[in-house]
Amino acid sequence: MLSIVAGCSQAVLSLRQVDSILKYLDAAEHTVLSSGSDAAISDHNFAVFASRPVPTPSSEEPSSWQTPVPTEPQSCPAAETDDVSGFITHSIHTEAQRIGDTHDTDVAHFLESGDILGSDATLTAEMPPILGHVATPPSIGELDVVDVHLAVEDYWLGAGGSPSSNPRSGLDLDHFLMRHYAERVCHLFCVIDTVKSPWKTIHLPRALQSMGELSVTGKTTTVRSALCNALLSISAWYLSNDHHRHQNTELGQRWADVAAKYGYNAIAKLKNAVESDMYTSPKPKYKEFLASMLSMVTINVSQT
Amino acid sequence: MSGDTHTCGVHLDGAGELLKFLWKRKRTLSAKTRSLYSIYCYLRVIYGSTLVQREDESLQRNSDPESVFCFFDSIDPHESASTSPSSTKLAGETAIFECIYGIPWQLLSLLEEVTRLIRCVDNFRMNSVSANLPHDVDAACDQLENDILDWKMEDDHSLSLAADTDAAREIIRNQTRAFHGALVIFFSQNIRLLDHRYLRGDVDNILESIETIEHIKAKTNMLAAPIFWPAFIAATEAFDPKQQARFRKWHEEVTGYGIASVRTGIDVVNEVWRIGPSRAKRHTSLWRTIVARTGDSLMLS
Repeated sequence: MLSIVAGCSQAVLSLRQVDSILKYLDAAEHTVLSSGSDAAISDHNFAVFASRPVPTPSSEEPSSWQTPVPTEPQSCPAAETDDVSGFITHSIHTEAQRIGDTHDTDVAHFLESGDILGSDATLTAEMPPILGHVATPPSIGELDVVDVHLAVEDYWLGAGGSPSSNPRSGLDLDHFLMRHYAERVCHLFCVIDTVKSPWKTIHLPRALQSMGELSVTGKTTTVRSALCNALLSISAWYLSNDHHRHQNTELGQRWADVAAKYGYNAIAKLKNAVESDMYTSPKPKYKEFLASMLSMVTINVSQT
Repeated sequence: MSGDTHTCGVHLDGAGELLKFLWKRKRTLSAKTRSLYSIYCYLRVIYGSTLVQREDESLQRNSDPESVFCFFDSIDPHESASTSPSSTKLAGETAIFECIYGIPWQLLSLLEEVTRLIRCVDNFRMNSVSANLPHDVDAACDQLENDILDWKMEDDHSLSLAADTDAAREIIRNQTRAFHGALVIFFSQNIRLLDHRYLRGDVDNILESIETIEHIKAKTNMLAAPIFWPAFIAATEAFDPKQQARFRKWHEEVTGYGIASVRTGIDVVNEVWRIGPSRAKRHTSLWRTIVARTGDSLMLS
């Protein structure tokens, strides 16, 4: 089933991008057909949800611009009472506490709300020019960091060139950062640029699926949202590191703040997912739990 | 600028518990889960290799952890009845590791063993006045040293599973060569306490490999980050000014990838170079002494 994510039609794709996406989908389709797996395929503004019918998510959460509805933790079947949930929750809580100590942030607030970006992540009808600025990026392998820098400058300075202290809508920021992740960051995790990279075949498709679900249906699973926030945090950390390396401390710090917020969100959502969804029926997507946890390590490695 | 990697262990512990939980429930892992498991194994082993106990910490922690590779070695009951030979399965694991990190999983397994042995040797040396290791530890050191030195790179056939271009294959060959060389140094500097002069050739070989990798990537316009662990280990035994100049140039290049945690490793290397080689009696490598003193947490992935 091919779905075009709603809300992205205003971002014009170049012919080269369309070619690239079609090639990727062809390659992925071949892989799915030959393996018979239920792989989800997504790329750029296209999202092909599971090629086989997907069971209704065990726990769905509202989109980021709606008030989260707390869910009661599911009772744990007797046969599955391994203390994995407790252990992981403890680990995540330790990390959240550390962040609170480090950044002087009200950890309890975001752990309860589950969405520290809530105030920024309002859906607006206006599409800022940010997507247009990076609508024709160089193809993979030719990506020049300078292009990303220019786009970032425009984003933060605004069309009139006057400094803007408020980021534009959270949704557009999500799109920008995910695009940066897809076109640059996720290529860096393997020693060779390969289509078999788990960051391209597992992390990215599921995060894009999460964004697509939010755009189309307004809800996604908690753990998938945790993964998505983790990737957005990683993407922002890389931008922050770029600016620090080019002695642009102010922009570097702004992106670091954005990255930290997405990081808080990722931890809070992961904690909620582990507490609420680990033992639900139908079985949760354990791969998404694992990918989210490993992405938290990547956040650690990426942050300045 | 320094990478905050103090909580990497927390997340890795969580991921490890989840994997155990999955293994108990399913006894078989899908291809994608195995890919994620490979990432976990790599991160866990690399993180453990630079985890140094501070002087005020208990020596009993992590005394004998289970191997991270235990799920790869276990036999899948469904697969055992099938006709697929286990060698195919292992080749698949090797392909995953080569594809992601440019090394076969056997090298990572050897690194895990060396790390465990170093902890054992460290504990003995810190708590004993004797210069000689106990017989069983000494025998284990000899055996592992032989395993490392006898290890040979797989042939081109297995490489082709992971990489489909000449450039990718050449990067994997050089990455494997660098990692193997770093493993030799890691063992020698921490267990044999070998003088840096004996390791100069290994340092040169690693430098050549990591420089070649960056050259190939630049030439083919490939976007992929380097693995920092081999470069770090080699740099901690590089006291020749020419070698240090080459490492500095390489460090400058790789900071462009935007991986902040590299900075902490480079700081440790600079401190090693500032102090310089010492003839004083020591029980471990200089960089481990520095990390134990500063309390730095390294993640050289």
